[in-house]
Amino acid sequence: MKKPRDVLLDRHRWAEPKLDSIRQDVLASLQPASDWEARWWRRNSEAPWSFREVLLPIRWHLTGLGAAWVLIILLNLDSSAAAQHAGQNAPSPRQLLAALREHRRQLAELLKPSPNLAEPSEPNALVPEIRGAIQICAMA
Amino acid sequence: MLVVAECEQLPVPQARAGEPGAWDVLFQRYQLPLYAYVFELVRHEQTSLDIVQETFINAVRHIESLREDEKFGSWLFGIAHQKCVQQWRRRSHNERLLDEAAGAASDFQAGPDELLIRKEDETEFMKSLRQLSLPHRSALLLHFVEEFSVEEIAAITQTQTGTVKSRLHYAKKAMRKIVQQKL
Repeated sequence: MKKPRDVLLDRHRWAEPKLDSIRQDVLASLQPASDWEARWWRRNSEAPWSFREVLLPIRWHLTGLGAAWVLIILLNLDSSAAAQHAGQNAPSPRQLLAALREHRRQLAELLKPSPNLAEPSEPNALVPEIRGAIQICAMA
Repeated sequence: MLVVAECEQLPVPQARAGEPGAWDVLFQRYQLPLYAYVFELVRHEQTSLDIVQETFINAVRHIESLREDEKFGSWLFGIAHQKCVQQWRRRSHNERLLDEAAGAASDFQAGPDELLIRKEDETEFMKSLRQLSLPHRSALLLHFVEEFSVEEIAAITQTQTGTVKSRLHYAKKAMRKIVQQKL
């Protein structure tokens, strides 16, 4: 009498030569052509695994950061569109210069002494004169 | 063929270091049980050989993912099991993997070394085994071929231990006529 394991293995023992061949093929792929190749394969076979191991625990943090960046970019696009629109209504440099000159002229007019102040002003009929002045003139 | 006795420690640390000789020993130890397990699940010779080869290649590539050296066997069978699952899905999308509720199998006690099969019943044993559904067959094969514990089978098949017990109980019950208890 046999154990179930022995029954099963005996049933498939005919496949051993093929399994030996597979084993040899896999082992042959383990032999590096050169030290440099071995290091390259080791580095590249490990990198994705460790890369994944590093990223997987912090995937939600990265998602949040990405969402924040998207929001910032969207807000920037919106404000730059508004600035562009405001820029379209801004006066041209020539207009600005003309306005500046006009302002300067007005300022100069305000600050310049009035030519009428230098000449004796005509007596104002509404302002009463000094009586004494009129009588002295009359006596003279 | 060099056979490593079960009491000997497998050269897993040397395999981790990339020694081809260590991998040769490990592959020789597991190639036939692995092939027997895979073949009884997928029932196709060339597919089984391909799966065994892919399992070996994956084992070499991802040996760093093995946490405990003494669990190398169950880890290797776990890789092979996943490849068999992919094969099942490729073959039939409508296949339903039947499962009973966990919590049964209160009388699951007999170990694999206590069950014996007469020579004249070997063919019937294999026939009965192949009539089981895939989950039951998988659990029973792992139990027979490598004498994995319930916990190890649960880890290999990615199920609960209660589910494994239930499957083993059902599978052995279905094969009760063939498998005889040791007197």
